[in-house]
Amino acid sequence: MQDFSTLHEFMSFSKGLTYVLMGVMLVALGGLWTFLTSRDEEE
Amino acid sequence: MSHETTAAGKRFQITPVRLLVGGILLLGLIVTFLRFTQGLGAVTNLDHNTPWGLWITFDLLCGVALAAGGFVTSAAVYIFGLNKYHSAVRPAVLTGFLGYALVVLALTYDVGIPWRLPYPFLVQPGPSSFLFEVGLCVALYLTVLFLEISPAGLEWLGKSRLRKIVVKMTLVLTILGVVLSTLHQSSLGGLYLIVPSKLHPLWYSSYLPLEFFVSSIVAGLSMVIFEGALSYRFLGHKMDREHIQHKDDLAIGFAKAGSLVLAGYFFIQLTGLAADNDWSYLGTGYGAWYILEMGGFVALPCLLFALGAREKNVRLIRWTAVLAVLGIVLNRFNVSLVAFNWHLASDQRYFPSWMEFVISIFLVTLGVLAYTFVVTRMPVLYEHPEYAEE
Amino acid sequence: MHRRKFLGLLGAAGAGTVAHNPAVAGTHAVFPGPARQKGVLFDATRCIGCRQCEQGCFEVNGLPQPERPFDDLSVLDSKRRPDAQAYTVVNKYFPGKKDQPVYIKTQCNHCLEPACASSCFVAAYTKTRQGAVVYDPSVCVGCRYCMIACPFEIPAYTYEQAVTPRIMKCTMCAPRIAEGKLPGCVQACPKEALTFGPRDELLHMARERIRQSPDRYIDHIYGEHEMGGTSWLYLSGVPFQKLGLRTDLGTTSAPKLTSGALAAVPMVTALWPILLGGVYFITKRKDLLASRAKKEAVASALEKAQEEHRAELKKVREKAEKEKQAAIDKEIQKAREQAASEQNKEDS
Repeated sequence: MQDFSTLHEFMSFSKGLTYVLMGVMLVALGGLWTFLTSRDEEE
Repeated sequence: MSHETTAAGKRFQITPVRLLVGGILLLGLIVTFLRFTQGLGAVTNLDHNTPWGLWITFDLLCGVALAAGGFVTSAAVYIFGLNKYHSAVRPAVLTGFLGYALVVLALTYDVGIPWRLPYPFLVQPGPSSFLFEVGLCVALYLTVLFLEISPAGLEWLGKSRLRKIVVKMTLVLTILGVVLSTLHQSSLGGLYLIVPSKLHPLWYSSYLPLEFFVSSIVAGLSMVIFEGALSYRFLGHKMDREHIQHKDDLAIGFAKAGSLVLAGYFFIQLTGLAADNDWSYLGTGYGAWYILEMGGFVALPCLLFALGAREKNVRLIRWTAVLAVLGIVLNRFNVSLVAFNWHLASDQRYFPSWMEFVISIFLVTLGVLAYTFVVTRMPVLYEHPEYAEE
Repeated sequence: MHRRKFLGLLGAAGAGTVAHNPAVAGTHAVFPGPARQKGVLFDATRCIGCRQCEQGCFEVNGLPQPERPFDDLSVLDSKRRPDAQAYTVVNKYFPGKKDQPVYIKTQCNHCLEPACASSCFVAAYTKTRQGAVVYDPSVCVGCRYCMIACPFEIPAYTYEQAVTPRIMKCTMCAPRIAEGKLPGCVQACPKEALTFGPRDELLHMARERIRQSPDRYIDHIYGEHEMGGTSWLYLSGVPFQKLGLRTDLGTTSAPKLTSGALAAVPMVTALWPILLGGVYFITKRKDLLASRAKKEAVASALEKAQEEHRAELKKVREKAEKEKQAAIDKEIQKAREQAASEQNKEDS
């Protein structure tokens, strides 16, 4: 539990975490996509 | 602007155009030298009240918006399955890549300590800033664009295995491209959210991010139409049959889309006015300017695109595309320079120095030269016979 | 791993998240700022425009020698702003009667939620525990977004520096106040127009002054709420906008102006791939169905054509059979007739 004295401090922390999460999101979604489509027969 | 090649090799003719280009390049190099040895103060008219001038406004804001054709076209083809626009993808992505590369180059001129540009990502991030968002997404998108355009280069070099790997990633790259483009196009508008006190109310809106994103789509569509016309005129001999056949279809299809998006953009702007109750500002001098921007450069191209698409009048569409592009440029100039610092006295306002103009023109010239170089050598306007559509 | 164990772990993780002490949530929380943060109160009714504060600032900060000396009061005849050589300037205004000037000292206001810090993409600005907003030139890239963002137009840039230009801005003499000393300007002021101390005490002091001399002061402490509040506070006997202080800035802090839009950013990453992927799948399926339908149409057309061809063939064969039979019958008839006529010939 952090002590944030200003909104800026809070935002820097939460947004920083959010950006990392965004990267994870993209990788994870890419993985899920591959999993979903890997058995699609090529026409 | 093609170089004449004879059987004996390159014969370089001095034409007026080439003289002009040579002059621009020379002048550009001189001013570049001055900027990096004497500092920004020696070359620009930037001051403490107006720290962002022509370079940020034109080379960054306009540059990024006008390079949006890459994500728009590849999304149309690879996600929405509109395969008839397939021949437009590579030229659009190439423009996008060169456009963004030039944006980064322009930034090295504009920021005070260019070699520290990687600092926000490698040393100490400031994630509360919209500029962080812009920087991160532009850097990533430049990589995506590079990968998207690499098949053209790889085909030229004959690296078919590597090319195959990259081509497999097309859909992923396209989706990533749309995500990143949405993020940074809107974040460029987001930059101005922090200064309601410095941006004229008619241009300031909490919808700025959305407005910048939607208008970037317009910019992308219009630039593809515009460039298609230029490419055909000057580089038509490089186009294969498919490209030439489809170019009119492309203009009409993109004009339809452009009309719709411009209408949406117009309504977003209108909503912004209503939400902030800015109506009284319309009666002022700035108000007239705003009405000119929205009426002449948003509503008018919207209607003209619609007309051109319905009547299948490609010529009208092409000129409307020019109008729409000018409208985007006007909007970015308004937000960044004209409506920004509107509260300052006129003697405190900024106007670019001639050297700033030189660098902006220099960078655009580099872009055009690079585009011509690539397009006359690599399979962009035509399909490499070995790799024709699988 | 066995299913039961896996589910058990999941449950534990979920319970752990719920039981965890809720961290401060950003949407509704109020951030108090550093406890007992310091500030400076400037009282315009006491300022005589002697510029000794500017000199004090110059001395303690090692700033470059100005073109005109600090005791040259004729510089006050034109409006100045803090620039690359001066963290603070004094300006003269004539808001009321012609020969009654009012002076105001301008410098960084050390906002509670600084726009410069919020806008800096390399986190070069920090609001210290003391309340000062300090700048770190060692990471600064020189993007100058902070200059755009500052509503008070304070940060200046050393544009003339070719290699390592930097921002120049009042530091509230952060190193000095950390040692318990006064900022250079406060120390130098001969009229106690500047008072340094904890911000809440300064606010109290300011309210007291207003209460005790209501005719002397405008009933407002500039900086109490502007842009979310600043550490540098102002009292004045004339309306603040007459002293070049903007009164239309509102009370929303800079980070609050951007937090809403910034919150939407990760939604693009979360939703766009799903939407676009969905469109792609739908389009692909449409194309697949279309091509399948096409194939089927072609196949059935082919089959139909083949059937027709077969029927045609059958017809032709039957016709040929009939003709053949007819020819055979004809021959038989002919032979019979021939045999009959020969028989007749023999008979006669």
